Amino acid sequence: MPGACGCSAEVLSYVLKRLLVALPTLLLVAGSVFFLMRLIPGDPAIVVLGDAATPEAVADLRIAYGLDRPVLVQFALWIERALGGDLGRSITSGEAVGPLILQRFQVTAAIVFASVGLAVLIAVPLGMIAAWKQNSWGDVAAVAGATFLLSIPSFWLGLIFLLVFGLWLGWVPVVGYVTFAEDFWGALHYIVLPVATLALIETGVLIRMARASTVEVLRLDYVAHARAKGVPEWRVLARHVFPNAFAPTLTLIGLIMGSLLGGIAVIETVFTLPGLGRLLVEAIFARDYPVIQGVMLFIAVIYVVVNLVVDLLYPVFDPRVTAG
Amino acid sequence: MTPVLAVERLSIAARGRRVVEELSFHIAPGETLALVGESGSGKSATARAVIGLLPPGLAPDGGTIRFEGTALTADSAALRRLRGPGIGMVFQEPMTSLNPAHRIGAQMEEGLALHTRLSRAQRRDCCIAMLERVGIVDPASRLNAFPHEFSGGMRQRIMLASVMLLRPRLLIADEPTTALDTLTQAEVMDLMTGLAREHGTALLLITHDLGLVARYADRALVMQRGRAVEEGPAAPLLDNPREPYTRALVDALPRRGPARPMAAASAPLIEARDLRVTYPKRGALFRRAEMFRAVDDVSLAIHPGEVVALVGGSGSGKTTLGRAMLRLVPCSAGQLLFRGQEVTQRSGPALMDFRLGCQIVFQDPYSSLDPRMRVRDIVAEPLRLPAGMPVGERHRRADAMLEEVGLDGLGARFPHALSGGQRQRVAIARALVRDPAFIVADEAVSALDATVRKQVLALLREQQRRRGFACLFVTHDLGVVEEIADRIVVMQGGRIVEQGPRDAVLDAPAQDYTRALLAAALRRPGVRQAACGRRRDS
Amino acid sequence: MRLRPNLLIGGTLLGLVFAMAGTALVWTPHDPVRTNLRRRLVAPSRDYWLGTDEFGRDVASRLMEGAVTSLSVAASTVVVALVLGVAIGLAGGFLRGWTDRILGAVNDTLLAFPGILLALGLLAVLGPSRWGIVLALGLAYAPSVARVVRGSVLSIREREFVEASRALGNSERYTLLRHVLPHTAAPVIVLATSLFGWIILSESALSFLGLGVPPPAATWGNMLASARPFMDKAPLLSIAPGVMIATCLLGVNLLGDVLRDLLDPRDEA
Repeated sequence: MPGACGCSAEVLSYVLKRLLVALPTLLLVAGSVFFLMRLIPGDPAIVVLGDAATPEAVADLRIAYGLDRPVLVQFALWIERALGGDLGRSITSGEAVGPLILQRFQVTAAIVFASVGLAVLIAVPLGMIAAWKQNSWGDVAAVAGATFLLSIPSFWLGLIFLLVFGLWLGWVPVVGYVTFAEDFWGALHYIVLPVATLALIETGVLIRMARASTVEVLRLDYVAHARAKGVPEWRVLARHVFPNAFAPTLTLIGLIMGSLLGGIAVIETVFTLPGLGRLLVEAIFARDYPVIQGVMLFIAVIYVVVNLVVDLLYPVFDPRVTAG
Repeated sequence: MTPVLAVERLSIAARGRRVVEELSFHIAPGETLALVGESGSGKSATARAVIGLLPPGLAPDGGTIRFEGTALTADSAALRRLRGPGIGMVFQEPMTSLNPAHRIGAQMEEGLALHTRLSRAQRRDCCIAMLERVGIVDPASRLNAFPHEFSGGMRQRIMLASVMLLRPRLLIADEPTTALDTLTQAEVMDLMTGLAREHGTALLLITHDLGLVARYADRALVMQRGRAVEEGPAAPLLDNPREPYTRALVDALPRRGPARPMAAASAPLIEARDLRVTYPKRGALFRRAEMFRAVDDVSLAIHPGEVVALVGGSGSGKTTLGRAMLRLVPCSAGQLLFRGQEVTQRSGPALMDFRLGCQIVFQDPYSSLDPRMRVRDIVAEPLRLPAGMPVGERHRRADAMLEEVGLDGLGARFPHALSGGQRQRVAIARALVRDPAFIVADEAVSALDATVRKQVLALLREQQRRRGFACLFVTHDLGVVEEIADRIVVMQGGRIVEQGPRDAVLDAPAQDYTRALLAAALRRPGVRQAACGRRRDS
Repeated sequence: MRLRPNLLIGGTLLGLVFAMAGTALVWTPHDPVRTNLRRRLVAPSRDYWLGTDEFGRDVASRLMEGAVTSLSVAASTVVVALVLGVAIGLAGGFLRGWTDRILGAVNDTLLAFPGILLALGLLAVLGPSRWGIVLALGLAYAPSVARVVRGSVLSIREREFVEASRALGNSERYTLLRHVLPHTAAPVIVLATSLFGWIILSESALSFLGLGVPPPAATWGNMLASARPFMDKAPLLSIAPGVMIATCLLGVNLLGDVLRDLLDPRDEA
C-alpha cells in the first residue's frame, strides 16, 4: 500500500507544522474580514435603526453593540462570540446568522463536492490515458476538448443547459429547490444540472493537469524499471504512475474547490438555489453587514480547512514532502 | 553454445534518421560485453531496444534480436514475459531509479510476486537476504523505508538487488555508475559483477568509461554515431587499438607526465587556517537544530603557480572547502588569508582586490552561463570591475580571450547554441580574462565526454603554464589528478586525511582512505601499467 | 507541431474580439444605449442583426460595446494586479528577511480568500462602479501574481550563473538587476496571459450578479443577466453574449499555451 504510515516522527512533525501554520492564518483572515467591514462608510447603528434613528436610540444601540469600545476590543469580542457560534443577527431578516449560514451551506456543499468528485473521477483517468497514448489522435482530441471546455463561462453553460433541458425538453425543473432529506429523487432533479455544468468545466481543467503530470512521470526511470521487471502495463499505470502523477493534481483540486467556493454565487443565481453564494450577494445589495461578515468568514475558514486537508493528504502520494 | 543474446544488423531510427546502423554482436552465457562510446553513439538506444523499452519516438528499423536462440519482436507478449526473469535492466540515475511513493520492500517484492510462486513470507526472506548481500545494514527494518531515505549509492544497490532477485540470464546495465563518485562506483561495479558471476548472468554493460571496460569486461564493442567501430576481447583492444577512433578514446585516458619541479619555498598565495563551515541539520519542530560540519577546522595553503588537487568522495567537504576559499559560502570559524592579508571578514570595496584575483570555474556547463547573454558579453562582464575600462576595450579583450581558448568567432552566439565542451571553454575564458592569481576548478571537467575532457584539461594546463596562476582542482576523479596536479590533498568527512606531492601520494599512499580511492581509480590501464613501471608510447 | 494550430486559432479568435472592440470605438450599427420601446425583443433582421433586447436596444451594438468595456476593464485590472503583485513579489524575493516575512504573511492572508470572495467583499465596501471593479479584482488577483514572482526570484537566485556573477565581485544589486530580473520576465508574461482570461471571466460573473459595471453600460455579463426572464421568448439574448465570452477565453487560453511552450523550454536549455 503506498503511503506514509502515520506513526513515524517525520510525518507527525509535518502534520504538526501544517496545523500550527494554519492557526495564525485563520486569525489574520478573521481580522481582515472584520476590518474590511469597518471600512464601509456610515454608522452601522444608523443603518440598523433606519427611520427610528433618533440620537438617543443611536447612542443606546451603539452601546448595545459595543461600538463605543476600542476597535481591537470589539474584534476580540467578535472572535469570542464567533467561536461560540454566535455570528450576530441579520439586519434584514433578524435571523441568527450562524444557523442561517449552516443551512445554506448544505446546498452549496452538495453542489461543490458532488461536481468536484464527479470531475475527478472522469478527468484523472482520461488525462492519464491521454498521456499514456501521447500524441495519438485521442490525446490531441482530449486536450482540444479540455481547452474548449474550460473556456466556457460556467454561468452561461448553466443558462444554456437550463434552456435546453429545462425549457425546451422539460426534463428538469427550472426554478426551485428541495433538500435531500425532504425528497431524494426530487432533490436530484434540482441538483443534476448545476452539478453537471460545474463538473463539465472542471473536467476540462483537471484533464490538462492530470495529463501533464502523467507525461512527466512516464519519462522517469522508475517507470521503465517497473516495465523492465515485467510488470504488466495496467499495473505500471495504476501502482507506479498514478500515485506520483496525482500529487500535483491534488493541489489543483484544492485550488478548484476554493475558486468554486468563492464564485458559487453565479451558479446559484442561474439555478435559483438557496445557497451560501446567493446569500452573500443578497446581503451585499441589502447592506446586511453581519451576514456579509459571517459568510465571508465562514467561506474563508472552509477554504483554509480544504487546503489543510490537501496538505495532509499529500504525503500519501508523495512521501518526500515529510522530509522537508 | 547458443549465445544468450545475438543481435544481427540492428537498426534503430528516430523520425526517419537512423541513430543505430546495422549493428551486430553476440554475448555468450555468463560473459560480460561492454558497449563503449561517447554521447550520441547509440549505445543506450541499443540497450533499450534489446529489452523493448525504447522511448517514444525511437523504433527498430531493421535487423533481428535473438534471445537464447529465439527471435524477439518489439511489443510482443513473449518479450514482455521475458522481462524480469529473462532480461533485467538497471538504470543510470539513482535519484529517479526507485519509485518515491512506495517502500523499497514493496518494490522488491513486486517482481517476485509476478514471476515466482513463493509465499509472502518466503518473498520477504528473499528480499532480506538479497539486501544483506548488497550491503544494506539492518535489512529487515529497512524494508519499510522509502527511497528518499537512502543515498544515491545505496539506491543503486537496492535497484540491483531488486533486479537480481529474479535471476535474469542477461543483465543490461545502462551507465549504472556514472552518477556516483569513484569510491561508490567501484563498490557498486564489484557488487554487480560479483552477483552476475554467482548466478551465471551475462552482462551487457553500457558505458563511456574505458577504465570500467578494462577492469570488468571480457569483450568490448566500440560504437561511434550508431555504427560499430571495433570489437574484440577487452584488454588487447585497449592495449592495441586498431581503429583511429578507438585510439583517440584510449588516448583520452589520463596519463601521468613528469613531475614539475617545485618552486623554491615561497609565501603562500592563499591560505585557510582552521576553517570551519557548518550547516544546520534538519531539526525537529521544537529542538534547536544540530550543526553539521561540512568543513571541520581545515588548514590549507596554496602557493603561487601551484596546482593542487583536492580529492574525496561525495560528502567529503571538498566542494564546500573550494567555495569557502573563495568566500562563496560563509565560514563559521577560522581565517582566510590572501597574499598575507586577512580577508575573512572583508566586504564591499575592500573585498574587491580578493575578488579580482580569485576566480572559479563551475562543474555544470549548462547552468553556469546566463542563457540570455551572448558569449562575448559573458566573457567581457568581469572587465566591468575595476571600473574604468571602456566598452570597446572590454569587447576587444573578450574576443582575444575567446580566440585563446579556441572559440574564435563564436562571440555572438548564445550558450544554448554551443556544445558542453565549448561552454566550459567559455567558463574558463570568463575566469581567465582578468588574469587572476588563483582559480578554483570545481569538478570543471566531470560533466564532459572523455575526448572533450582531454581537450579542456589540455587547455587548462596550457593556460596555467602560460599565465602561472595557482589552481585548486576539486574532483572525485583521480585520473584527472594525474595529468594536472603538482600536489594532492585528500579529504574525508570534512577533514584533510592526507596530502603530499603528486607522485608520493599516488605511489605510496599512507592512509587507508587514500588507498581505497586509488584502488577504485587504479582500474585504468594507463595508470596500472605506469605503476608497474612499463613504458607507454603516447 | 502543436504550436501552429493553437497560434492560428487563438490569434484569430482574440483578433476578432479586439477587432470588434476597435470598430466599436468609432462605429456601431445603432446606439447601444438608446432605448426604443416600440421595438422590443425583435427577432434578428437586416436592420437589427441580432435582434433587440427588452428595452429595444440593438443587441449587436451592445455586444460590440460590451467588447470595449470588458477588454478595457480587464486590461486595467491586469495592470493593477501586475504592478501590485510584481512589486510585492520582487520586494520579498530580493530583500528577504523581515520584509519578506511580513509581506509573505500579508500575501498568504489575502490568498486564503478563495476566488472572487475578496472582490465581493471589497465591492460591498466600494459599491459597484467601473473603477470599483478594477480595484476589487486587481486586489483580489495581485496576491497570486506576488506568489509566482517571489517563487521565480527565489529559484533563479539559486542558479549557478547567479553565483558566478557574485564570484566575479559584482554587487548584489547589479546581479539582481542584470541576471535575476530578466529571467523573471518569462513566467510573468505567461501569468499575465492567464490573468487576462481569469479577469474577463470574473468581471462577467460579477456583472451577471449585478455587482459589476453598472447599467446602462453594456457588458456581456449584465446582458446575460437581463436576458434571463426572456429565455423562452428570445433565446438569442442568452446565447450571444456567452459566445463572446467563451470566444475571448478560448483565444486567451490557446495563446497562453503557445506562449508557455515558447518561453519555458529555451530557458532551461
